[in-house]
Amino acid sequence: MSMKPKALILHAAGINRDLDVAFALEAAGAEADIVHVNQLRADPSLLRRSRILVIPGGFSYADALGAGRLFALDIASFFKEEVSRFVDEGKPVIGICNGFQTLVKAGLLPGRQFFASDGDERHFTLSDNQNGRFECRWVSLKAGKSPCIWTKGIEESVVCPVAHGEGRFLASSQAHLDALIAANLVALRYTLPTGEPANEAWPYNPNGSPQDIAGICNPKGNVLGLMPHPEDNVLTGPAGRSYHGGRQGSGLSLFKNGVRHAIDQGALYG
Amino acid sequence: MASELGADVELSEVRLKYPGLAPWEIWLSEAQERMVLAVPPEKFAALTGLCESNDVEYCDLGFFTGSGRLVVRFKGKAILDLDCGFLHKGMPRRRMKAAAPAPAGDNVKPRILPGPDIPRLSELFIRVLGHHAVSSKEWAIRRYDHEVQGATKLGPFAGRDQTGPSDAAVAVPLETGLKRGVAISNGFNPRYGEADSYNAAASALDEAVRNAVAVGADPERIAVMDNFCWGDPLKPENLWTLLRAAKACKDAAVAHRTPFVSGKDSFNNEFEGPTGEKIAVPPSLLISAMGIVPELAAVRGSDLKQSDSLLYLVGEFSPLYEASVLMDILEDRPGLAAPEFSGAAPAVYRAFHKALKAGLVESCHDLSEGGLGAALAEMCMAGGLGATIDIEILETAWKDPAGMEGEGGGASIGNPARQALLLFGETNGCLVAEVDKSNANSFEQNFSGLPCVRIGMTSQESFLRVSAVGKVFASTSLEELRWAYLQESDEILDQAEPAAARVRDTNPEGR
Repeated sequence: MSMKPKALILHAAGINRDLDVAFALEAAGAEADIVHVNQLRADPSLLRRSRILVIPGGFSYADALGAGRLFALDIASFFKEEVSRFVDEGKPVIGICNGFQTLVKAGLLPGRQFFASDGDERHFTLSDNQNGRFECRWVSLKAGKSPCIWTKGIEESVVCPVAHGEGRFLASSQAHLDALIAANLVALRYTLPTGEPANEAWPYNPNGSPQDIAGICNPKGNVLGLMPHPEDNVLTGPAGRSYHGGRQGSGLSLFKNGVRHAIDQGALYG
Repeated sequence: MASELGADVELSEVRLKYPGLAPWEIWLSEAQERMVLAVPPEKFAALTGLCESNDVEYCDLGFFTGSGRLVVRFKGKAILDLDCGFLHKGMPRRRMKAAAPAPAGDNVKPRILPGPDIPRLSELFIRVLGHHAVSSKEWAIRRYDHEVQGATKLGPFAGRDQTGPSDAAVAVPLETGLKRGVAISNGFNPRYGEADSYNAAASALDEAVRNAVAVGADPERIAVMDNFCWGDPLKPENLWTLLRAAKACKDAAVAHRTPFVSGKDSFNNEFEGPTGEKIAVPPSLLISAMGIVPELAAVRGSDLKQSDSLLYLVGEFSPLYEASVLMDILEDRPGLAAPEFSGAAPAVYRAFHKALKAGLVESCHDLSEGGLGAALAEMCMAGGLGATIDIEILETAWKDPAGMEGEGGGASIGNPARQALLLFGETNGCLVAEVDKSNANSFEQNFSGLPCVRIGMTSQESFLRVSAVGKVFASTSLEELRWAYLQESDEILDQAEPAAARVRDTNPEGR
């Protein structure tokens, strides 16, 4: 077992936060590899040899047909089995911003049908922000009660930027949304800078997601998707910064959790 | 690329976005996001491998020949075969005519002071902050990703709730080992361009350098770029303003010892007016600067940090009424003069950088559109703190221009026109610094022999006050300032909850 778990950061045309998340993961103790979709197609064992999978942010394929849509198609067409096995083994997976959109649209998040009648239909999506605009601003987040391994034990606010135009998490029905919440799968919520609920008020909740949903996980808790960019607030000291009174580098705790989980798994399974 | 060696190019290899282009169109059309690379033949396979693994299209266009001729073919047939020397140096020198525009009549003279019937100072604060040249650009800035790559140290918004404007952006490239930063700034003022293209260009360069220095860049390690946007250069008066601007670029760059590393121009920016007449854009020069920030601790931001700090004005303070935002608010006419380059600026900026590196500055902001008044208001809003400044001290800092007597201004404290000029007149070469009391002596010594005056103090109270000898001339609340500053952005954003209200509740009084 190598001390540093390998993280595979999947790259496609238009992805632009791969370096950010690679930096964050290395700061958290992983060994990060940025791997292009074509490279993974040529050598699928790259994923098998990794312990963390990251779908980073950006504008994959110019957001054609909707954000994350084509990237999701790549995953579903080329790596469906590989990725499903990775998820089923409980290995940590994180999709950030465009990566969140991709995981949802690929059917990997929340990843389980809530009602038997749903069949294979997808009931959740990330849609245009309520105000119809791309927005870049810093937000405050609180981890909710959930099985998510990435947000486990994080009590302080995570303060970091958002930069998206399609981040409003929507369900096909209120019943589906209620089921998601009842299953404790809302891993992160937007809050006021004080940590109080944002109550869907812009700009604290920047996109109008119901229930201030910023990120969700799968029932097993190993897959997290979130719109904000914790990878852009991992520095402390002179190079770091923060706003709204948040702690410098508060985004790092998520990545440390993911890396720790991968290490623990490695110790268990070798 | 082939200007000396010559090359042999095959156009039928070029990947086209759409079919039907004639060979000369393929050769000459401008296209985005394409690059030509010179690749050693033995490395070609490695390059194509890299391209294919990243879904990047490429083609093998041709080769350098060493013949000194440029040969361009389409399906083997030469469509162009020219001597490179003739192609690159064969053009006869072009002669163009520049002529100064006709002088304005004798009765059109630049004003030193605004007219006596001006609004109260507190109203001017609101109007200056609400002017489109000063007011928040949040409506535009939020729509692009200014956080991507994770290396932003200082973004476009200053302060804990991100209200005020930063002087410049600072990025910390990972390659520096997170030890050093890069400041990216600019200087631009088309109102000056219309008034005096020489001073406008010198002002733009000085502002770009000043903004970079304000965020911690070493003035000895700043490079600049120009971006000219002009009317038809074949019109002699347009060529005249262009020549004057280019001369000022040289003079100001030499004075600041900053190299021009690149640039861009756009001419013929003329549009047809309602009666068919051609209307040209004002001579508009944007100068961008990039500077190395040697120590990240020197990046202080423009937001006031604490109450009971001292406020200093450094640099040659020569507020000008003509072409200022103040004039634009009070009169409907183009300006007749623009601020002059300050000869002291290079020395002032070097000293300022020293003060930043020595940790003597809590926050700072440069003086630009809207003058000292706008700079102070922005520092207060960003920091959520108030300030009181002494306008009598400003009087002493001002280099009284000749001809004052004729304006009926006089040196009397309390003359509203004169006060308005001191607060909102525009000048080059100046910055405001917030300094902790314990650092006052060191800060003043740091500027010994250079223009530096203590103009006031920060306070816990949420008001920006202008006073002299115990009398308060203006007192404007941060709430009013924010409302004025954010109103336009809020309207454009059309939000249910105006930002002005939002900022208030995230920043409770006396934080």
